[in-house]
Amino acid sequence: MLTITNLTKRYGYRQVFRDVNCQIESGQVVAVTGRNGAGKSTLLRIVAGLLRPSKGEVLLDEIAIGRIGMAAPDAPLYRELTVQENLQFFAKAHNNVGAWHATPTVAGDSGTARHAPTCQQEYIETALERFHLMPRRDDLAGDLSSGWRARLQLAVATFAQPKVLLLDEPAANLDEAGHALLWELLDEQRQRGIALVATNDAREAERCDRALLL
Amino acid sequence: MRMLNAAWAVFEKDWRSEWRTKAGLSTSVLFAVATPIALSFTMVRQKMSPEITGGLLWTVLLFAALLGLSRAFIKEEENGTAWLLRLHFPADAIMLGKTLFNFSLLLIMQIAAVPLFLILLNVQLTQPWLLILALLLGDIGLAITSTLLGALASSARSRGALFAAIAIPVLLPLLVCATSATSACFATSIAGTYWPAMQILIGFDLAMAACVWMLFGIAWGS
Repeated sequence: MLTITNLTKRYGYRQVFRDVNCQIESGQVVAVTGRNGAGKSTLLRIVAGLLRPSKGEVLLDEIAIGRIGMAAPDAPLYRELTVQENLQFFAKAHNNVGAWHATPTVAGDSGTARHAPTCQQEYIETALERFHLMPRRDDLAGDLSSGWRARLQLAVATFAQPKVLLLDEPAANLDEAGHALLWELLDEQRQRGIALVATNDAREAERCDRALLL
Repeated sequence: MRMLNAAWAVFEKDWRSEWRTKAGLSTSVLFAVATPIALSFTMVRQKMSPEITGGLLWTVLLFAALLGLSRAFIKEEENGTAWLLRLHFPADAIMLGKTLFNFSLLLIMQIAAVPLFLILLNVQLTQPWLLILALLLGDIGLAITSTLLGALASSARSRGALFAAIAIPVLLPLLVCATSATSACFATSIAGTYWPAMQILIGFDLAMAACVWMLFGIAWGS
């Protein structure tokens, strides 16, 4: 469960938002909406623990490092590393345990179930396949188009089966197949915990369980 | 074990990234190599005292190191990847990985610069093994200190300038002791100066290691 109480953020004299209150139960995908500059990205960063609020608090049940996944358009990953090396780096952060390690089977593209990966290389292969990154595996992340980069960010964000998934404008650069993959991931997240999706797209917001208007 | 794996991953990633961009390595090595070459033209046929030689060597090494060491954290902030590290890696793994990276960067820079300095300036080296020991202890102190200061300075707006501004006063005791120990290696006898300087250098390294261990989480988190 995620509880936000009287959350306020100011940058100097400029107030971004004031007294935001919200309680999110496990199994919910919540859209965070609002005009440009309303503080959607700021709210996600505060929930992730990357920014301190000016007032108020965010309470998360038993969340350790690596149990919060986040993808944001201003996070270009490591530009000098290839797609595969980026995945390997974050795999090592989580002790080489693959994203779907705890799940006995995962559904492949064809819909058939196959065994969950058990070692780093197996995870990398599975992630490359699942996020359709296989053709670009040896390309530097800095050379990827924004669409490919968004897929790689989603792969990194969902790597450790996070209890809390924070996505900032995740659909902005995705094509139709990317959208389908995104919603597949969000449906999985409902089984696992909470997702907060910052979006300006009304159709995306409608697909979420609830909306938090800033 | 997980912390060591994560620290090794940070170290490996930094080297892979550095090898492809060569931003810190090339700046440090170029400065450390170009300075003895320039000095060799101006100091030709001049006999320098061991104290001046030691001082010159550490001046070259310190400024070359400051050019490269600040990159470890500043690069993360500039590329917008610092928050990814904060989210996925524990602070102690980042600290250890970055310290190892800084230490190895210093070693490579010195392997290129120190022999060149000794040859071009025609320095009489009386205690080569003791010189290596003094350089290693100096490197450990430099790597540890710059890891903490790099993390502190990285979130500021003028990161590079701030890093140098806070590093020089903090590194002053290290510089004095390392210079003194190094100078003794160029003298006919090391008696009286080498070991007292080395004792303070060891003390500085241990004190800085304790500081980094306790403060890194706060510096990196802020």
